[in-house]
Amino acid sequence: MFESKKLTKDEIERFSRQLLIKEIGVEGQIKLRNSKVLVVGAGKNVLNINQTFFLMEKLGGLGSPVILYLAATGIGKLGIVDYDEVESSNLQRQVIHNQYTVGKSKSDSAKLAVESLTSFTNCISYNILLDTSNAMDLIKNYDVVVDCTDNVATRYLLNDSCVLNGKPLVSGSVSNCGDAGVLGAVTGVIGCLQALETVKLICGIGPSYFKKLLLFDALTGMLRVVKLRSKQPTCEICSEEPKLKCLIDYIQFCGGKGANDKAVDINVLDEKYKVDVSFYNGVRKGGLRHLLFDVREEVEFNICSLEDSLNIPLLKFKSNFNFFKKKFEEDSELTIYCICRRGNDSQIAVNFLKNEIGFKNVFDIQGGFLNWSKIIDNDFPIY
Amino acid sequence: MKINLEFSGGLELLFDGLKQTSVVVEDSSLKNLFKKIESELITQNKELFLKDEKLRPGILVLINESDWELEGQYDYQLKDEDTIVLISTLHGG
Repeated sequence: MFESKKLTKDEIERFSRQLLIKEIGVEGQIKLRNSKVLVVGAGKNVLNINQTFFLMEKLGGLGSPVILYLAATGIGKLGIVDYDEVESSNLQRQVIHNQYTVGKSKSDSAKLAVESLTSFTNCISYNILLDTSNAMDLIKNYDVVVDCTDNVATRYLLNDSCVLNGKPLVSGSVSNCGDAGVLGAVTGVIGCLQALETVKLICGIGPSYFKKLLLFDALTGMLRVVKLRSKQPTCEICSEEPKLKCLIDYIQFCGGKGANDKAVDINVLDEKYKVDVSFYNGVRKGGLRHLLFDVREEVEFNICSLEDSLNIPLLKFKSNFNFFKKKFEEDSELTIYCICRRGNDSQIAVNFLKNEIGFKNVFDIQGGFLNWSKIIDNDFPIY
Repeated sequence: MKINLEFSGGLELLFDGLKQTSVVVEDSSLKNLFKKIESELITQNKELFLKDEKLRPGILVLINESDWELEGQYDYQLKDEDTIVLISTLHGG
């Protein structure tokens, strides 16, 4: 295709505010127009609980500002990779989607937003899970890759694909893992910095964070930029004589944690100490004497809980040793049930009460509140 | 000598939310400082900090604002009033 060295009247009108920046100017705007950027969002996280599949809450908040600001700035071709559907719980931070696109594929929803924002950008949505089989072919068609992913395996995959393809990679992440929370504005800050860095790379202004890492502590508002070491001469992928000449299995490399299985179920408890939610519902209905320990964090307990349950977060179990011991001395036959969000921590809690305290009648409620909500009480909130 | 410590990026959760503190050390290697942190400061999930005396992957160490890999890593000899920052990295998006 013929690439004009000039800007059209429409382009000048649309991009006038940034054309006036001398570091960008007409030349920079043409570079933006001729550039191809791939934004990689998140994979789908599916959690398997007793053969029931739940879509899990997860991140994807970086891609929203990255895509919106890159489109607005006049990037010629914008590729969006995401293998997930929009959920209402995403809208708190993934501001590129909206209430009308809940249920749609995220890459298509993002493309819709780009198309309603601008006709100057050719937006391509890839509703795929990026992996070793497709990453190289996809990335080679782009100039810059922006990493907005939510799992370590895909981060390694992107890094190695970019090294092998000789493409710059702009990475960002927010402090979080599955169950912890995040404020939308925080992903906004980091995503905007990624968009800015990408624009500077393309315009030839040069990156600001080459061999550096910017850290932002949202709670204190503190920004810190630290120097990073150079390439390691022994690096398996980026040294002069790399061991790796093609992509590997990154899910295996990361110990089995990939884009598809971020929330892992554990099974550390003897079956005879487990009951299902229906059984426990019967215990409540029948008014059988027992204690219910809700072992989630206090902040989760405050969101929703069962009546007459006692909140003792798993992390505070050890410091509550004397409390448990006293309960045990009062009644060693006491029946105790432990519950948490999805049935992992509660197993550990049962083991503690059994092995460290001596309780015999102590049980895990399998699948926790996710199962409780699904099977017993649909009005119980899932968060 | 006095060493200033900062924990961030989520690592402060191992220290019950503590972000800044200082310790007084006799021995001057970074390796021994980590052991001291493990035995005296961490309140929970010790295994997420050190394993076999090595720092778990994904924890970035800064010695006076500089990547510890530029400073000799575990063998770095601490000086009075050094600031050691430990940051948990590799998160979600």
